[in-house]
Amino acid sequence: MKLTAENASFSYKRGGPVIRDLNFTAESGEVTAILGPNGAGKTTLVKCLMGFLRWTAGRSLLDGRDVREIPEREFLSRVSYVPQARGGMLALTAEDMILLGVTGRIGVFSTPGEEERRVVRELAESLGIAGLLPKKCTEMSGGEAQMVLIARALASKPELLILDEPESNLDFRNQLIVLETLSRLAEDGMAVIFNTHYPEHALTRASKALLLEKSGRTVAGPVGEVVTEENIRSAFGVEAAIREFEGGQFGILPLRLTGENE
Amino acid sequence: MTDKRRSLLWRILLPAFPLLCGLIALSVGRMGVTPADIFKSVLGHITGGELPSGLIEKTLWNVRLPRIVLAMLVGAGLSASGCAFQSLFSNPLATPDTLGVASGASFGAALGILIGLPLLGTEAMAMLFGVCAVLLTAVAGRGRGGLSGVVLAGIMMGSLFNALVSFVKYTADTDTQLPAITYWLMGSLGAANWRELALGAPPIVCGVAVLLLLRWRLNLLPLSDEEAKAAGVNIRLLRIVTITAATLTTASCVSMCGQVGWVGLLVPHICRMKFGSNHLRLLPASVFLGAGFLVVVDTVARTATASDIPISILTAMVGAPFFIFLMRRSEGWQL
Repeated sequence: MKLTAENASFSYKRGGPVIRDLNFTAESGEVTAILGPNGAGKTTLVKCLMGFLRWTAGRSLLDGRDVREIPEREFLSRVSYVPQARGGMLALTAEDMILLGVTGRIGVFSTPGEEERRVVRELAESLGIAGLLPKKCTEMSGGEAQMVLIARALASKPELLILDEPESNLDFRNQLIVLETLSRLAEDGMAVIFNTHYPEHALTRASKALLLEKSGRTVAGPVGEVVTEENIRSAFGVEAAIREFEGGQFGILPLRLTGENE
Repeated sequence: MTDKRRSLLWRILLPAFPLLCGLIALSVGRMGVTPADIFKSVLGHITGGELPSGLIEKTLWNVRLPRIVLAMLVGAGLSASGCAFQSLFSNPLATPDTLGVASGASFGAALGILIGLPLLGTEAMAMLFGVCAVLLTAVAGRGRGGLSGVVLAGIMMGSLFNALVSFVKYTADTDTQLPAITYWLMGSLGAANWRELALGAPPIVCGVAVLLLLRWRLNLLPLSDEEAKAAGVNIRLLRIVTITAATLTTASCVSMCGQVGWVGLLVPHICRMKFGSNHLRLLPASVFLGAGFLVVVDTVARTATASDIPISILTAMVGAPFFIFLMRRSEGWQL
């Protein structure tokens, strides 16, 4: 599985370009991180990749086929999406919430049966959240809710998973749980693309990275070449120090404003 | 295992509730009809044997039964529509009237009475204007605001039609038409007969059936456009179908018996507290409980005093306190 963006650009009807001439490829078994300051268009990029918004120029290709030529149903059965976990969760149980993810594959008037429930149980066990199944989503912590949303997206058995800031607003432990999950999914052969506010998560977890700047300029490539002190300075307007720890872990500390921003 | 047994128990209890209420309601009233008379009459019709006296026969089959059937249909219809709208607008306070259908229907009925149409004509007018009001809401609310734009447009349309109702009342003849309009607006099931049901029941039955068939998908309605799309669901189509089914159901209910408030709010929330938020169980429960509830309320309405009490007075008097009681006991508002 291969998702490619080719000279892709996007601009809203009013205002300048948000994304300009983007080129990158996400492949099975790889984690791709999308980085950028607030308002640089990270969420917009995710929506364009999902086909919720249309590129104003350029295109994306799924295994070499123009995405616009692929029927939406087929595309969405191969590509799945995890939204930002917002406040307004439903009072459904985790099991029902995850079951919503299989709705696209059952008939319009049908209801999920034993088979679908079994899939959900297995999925929850593999993600380590089987204990959450009877719990109401409204009573969950942020980390639990995020894992349920990931499970919901996986219920349709996608080949590519796109996540919008999956580890924002989570504590250290829950961040690691979510990131470990992403790494494991990629090891199992899935293509994973995620948006993040943390360059160190990109360095530690991703093999490729995309850095969006407010000007619309993008830097794409192997993560080590994209997430550099130089690029962070130009994209975020801060001087940052990158340090490597044991086991290929990275830490990035923003030191001071450069005064060039805005 | 106990879970399964309990769910089976509810599966029997819930449909039995409206039937039981209906059966009891058949034998309650100023005209004394004993359960034995009902049994004798049913048996007589099946076997061609002896029937009870003509008056009892007429009371049972032409007065009480159509009224009970109407109460069941309206209770089920309003509850199902309310339930669907609360999910559609992610708002626990949404009612079947959120898009202005009841206000539109009220105006239609008031206008019908004003120009002296017969009962069926008045009901047709109510149905027509109820649907019109929602269409206008849909047109006015389209565009950027998304669903909240539609809700705002619904509130505007509701107050517009309420103003029109006031205008009709203002111009109506104070001796005959004004009381008729006022009485109609307060709601009553007293006019029920088989001919009326033959016209008004199909939209309710169809609307409720569509909602019941879609009950799993109603769970998807509160999701954002993107989330629903990613789940492989055409959310726009789902919204349109839901609104259409709920509107036809409500318009038909209001056209037959006037405004019956509270049912569409009260019943779904009682069911939510007991059965949770999954529409797979919530919607059927609301349908059955709503049907039974309105039969009970209507039976009180026709037997408590010498003349019929308008039903919306009773639903509000029962509904409001009971609702507050339930809310304080449970975790409060939840969808």
